[in-house]
Amino acid sequence: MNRIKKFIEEAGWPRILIAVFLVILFIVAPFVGVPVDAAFSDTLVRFGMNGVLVLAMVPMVQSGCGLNFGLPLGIIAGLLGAVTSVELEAKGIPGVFTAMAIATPIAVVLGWGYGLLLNKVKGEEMMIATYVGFSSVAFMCIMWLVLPYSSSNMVWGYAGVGLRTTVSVEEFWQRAISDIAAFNIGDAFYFPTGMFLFFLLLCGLMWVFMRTRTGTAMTTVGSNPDYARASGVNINRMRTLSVILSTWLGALGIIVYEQSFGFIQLYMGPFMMAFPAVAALLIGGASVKKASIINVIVGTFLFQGILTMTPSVINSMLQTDMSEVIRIIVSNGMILYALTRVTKVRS
Amino acid sequence: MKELPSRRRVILKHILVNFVIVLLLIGLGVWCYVQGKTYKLSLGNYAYTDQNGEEHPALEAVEVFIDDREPVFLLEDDSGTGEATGRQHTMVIKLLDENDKPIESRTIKFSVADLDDDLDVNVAEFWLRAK
Amino acid sequence: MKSTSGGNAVTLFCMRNAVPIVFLLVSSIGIYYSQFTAEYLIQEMLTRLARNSFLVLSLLIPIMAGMGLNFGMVLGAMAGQIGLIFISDWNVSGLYGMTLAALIATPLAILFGWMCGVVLNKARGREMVTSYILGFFMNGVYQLAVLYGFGSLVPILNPELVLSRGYGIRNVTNLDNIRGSLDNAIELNIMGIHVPLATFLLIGVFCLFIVWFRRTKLGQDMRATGQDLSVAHSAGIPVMRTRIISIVISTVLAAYGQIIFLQNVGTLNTYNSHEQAGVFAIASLLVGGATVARASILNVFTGVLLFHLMFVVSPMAGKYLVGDAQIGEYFRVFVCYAIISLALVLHAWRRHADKERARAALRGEAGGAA
Repeated sequence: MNRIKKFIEEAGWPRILIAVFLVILFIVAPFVGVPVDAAFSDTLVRFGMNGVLVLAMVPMVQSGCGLNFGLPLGIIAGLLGAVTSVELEAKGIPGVFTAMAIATPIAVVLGWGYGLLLNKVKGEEMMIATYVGFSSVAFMCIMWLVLPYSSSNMVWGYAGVGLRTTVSVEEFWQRAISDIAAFNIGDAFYFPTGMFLFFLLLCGLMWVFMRTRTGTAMTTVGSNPDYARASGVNINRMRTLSVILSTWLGALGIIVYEQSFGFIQLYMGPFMMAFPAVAALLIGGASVKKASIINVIVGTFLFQGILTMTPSVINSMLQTDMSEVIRIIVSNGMILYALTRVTKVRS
Repeated sequence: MKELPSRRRVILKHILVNFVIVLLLIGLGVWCYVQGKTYKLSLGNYAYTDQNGEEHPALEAVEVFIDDREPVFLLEDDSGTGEATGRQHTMVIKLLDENDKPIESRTIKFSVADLDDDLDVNVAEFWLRAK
Repeated sequence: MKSTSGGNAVTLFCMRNAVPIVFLLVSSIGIYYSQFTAEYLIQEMLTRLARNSFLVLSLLIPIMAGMGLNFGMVLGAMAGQIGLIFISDWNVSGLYGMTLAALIATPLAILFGWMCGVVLNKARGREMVTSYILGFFMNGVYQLAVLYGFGSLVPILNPELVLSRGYGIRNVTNLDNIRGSLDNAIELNIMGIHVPLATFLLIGVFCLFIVWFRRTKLGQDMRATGQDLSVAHSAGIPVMRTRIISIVISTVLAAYGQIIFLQNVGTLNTYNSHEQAGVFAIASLLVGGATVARASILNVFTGVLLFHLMFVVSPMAGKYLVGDAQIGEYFRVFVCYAIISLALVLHAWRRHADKERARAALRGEAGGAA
């Protein structure tokens, strides 16, 4: 009895409620005509797709920079990598890795600049991150029109100049990672083993990193900056490092997302992409100041589960399509909840 | 020193004042609704039999003005829609000759409450009642 | 020792008003390239000033109370729109319709504002992000209500407003019955330029209200709360309640502002009209030189003017300068967000610098004492 109580206390009521809700949805599903195997498969695929993007949040939260609403910056680096990879007609796994290889230096540079900016505005990071993210997406909208890409797969047919809004990667590297060791059960159940392995690999690397000296230094900067400074850690350098890491993971994350989704979304696509990632992390039990790998895994699964199941079940029950509206309410509601959790005010 | 009114009194007074203010606002809302509701009247120009059994033909060509709005042009047996905002209205009916020039003009005041549910107005009938 | 010479004063002025100055420069370049006539621009600017000022003015009170930029004004816009949906349904026109819409919107806006205030109080220190997310959340609730509740749970009499499936409001609602009713209430034409005098009078009254409000006890309480929460609390001011009241007032005024906005536009995009209301209003205020901690009425009008000047001029300037109007449009979106980023960065930077200076001063004193 005590152990259960302790578990509930540590996990927090909201998480338990959401998990129970998700289980209920899965139980109700077959009774309202939603095929459970397809739904479960969808949930798993979406879990893998979004996992890395959520993982990208961890470094910045740990180092005290708050939730990375500026994830679009990393996403843009990833988009540039992906688009260049399509331009070079790289296919399959090499294609994906080309994209990642090109995205990495861009992400590092962007992350570095972004980190410098955030260091100057300690205390207001989240708001500024949001608007820096928006501004860069808007700026890239101009760039996508102007950059000298010429592959016929991506460019507007009529004018021959300027990238299309969505670029299909079907012929190039769709599912390249997901398909590694993947298997199907029956018609509708597809298990993207490769994507999970990649995600778990990155989680593992992050876990190890957090236990290295640099990693612990980063965590200390976030939880106790005075102690960190006293121990001789350069706070600004650690924060910038966390931002670079975050941005780079964001770039990798969007490439993983795209290879599963099948499309590269340009222009206003990345505009709101930070929010689901933030919501997922917060559902997983993280707070604005602390996040762990468990938070990432649990949170992404719960969040994507709810986002997949709630619309399907409600749509079947009420015979209407409410998915978009439910998505908005659920994801933003969860972020709101986390933002309003009282944290002890340290003066 | 004069004794202050009890807290209960003060709170009751507050509640009363707020209640009155809310009532006034609701009254304002109702008044706005009544004054501002725009009704779509179907204007017709048909032959008409009055209470005495007399038959009157439809008017040849008329222009109907409701409350200074744009005129609605009607021929014999023609129908159109006119808009009226509020309850009381003034309708000016201008009879036109072959060249569509107004020869005679009559005015009639009416209320939306007088009309039936479908808000039908037979202009020919109103022409007779008008001065 | 003499402190500021003339040159220093100019530098200080430039630094404090960096944002509007940059904007003015960019807009001037844009005006030149857009090839618009002065007459067209003046008419456009007058219309837009009348249309948008009320919304931006509603942002002043939360800034005064220390709540930062009230992204939650979107909630007020939604309340106003719900009021407009009803009067559209009942076909109440003219100023009566507008007043009725305002009367319907007010209790809704008070409810929304109160909710917003309570949530923001729980997220102290993170008000802006929270109000931003709250705006999105309420957008979802609004859509739930309007797309599914109206027509089914809430009776809608006019079938023209309802989607073909039988419930839910259409995407575009015609506001012909109130279109221009406030703007044209008092006719005024100067040299062929139509001036919406009644609207400006209303805005003027509102400005007077703000000036008067600052002098009332409630206004003073808010200013004290905005300057220093703990000091105000020690002085006996009910700070939490005051903060909530500031948000409630702001939300109600945003509702009225949205009604004024929409009566000018004449059409209600049921699911989109309110989205940009918040961002554009805040961008306008910041462009006018306001900061997160301080905003004046002058900031409002300067900001609306400059912001909308750039807004109008960008697509055409983009077309003549680069050959693509689309670039101009993206450019203005970019500038909109970049300007908010810039203002936020400057604000945080200045706050940081102030804290550093305070700390250094303390250290200096301690060193002297030792």
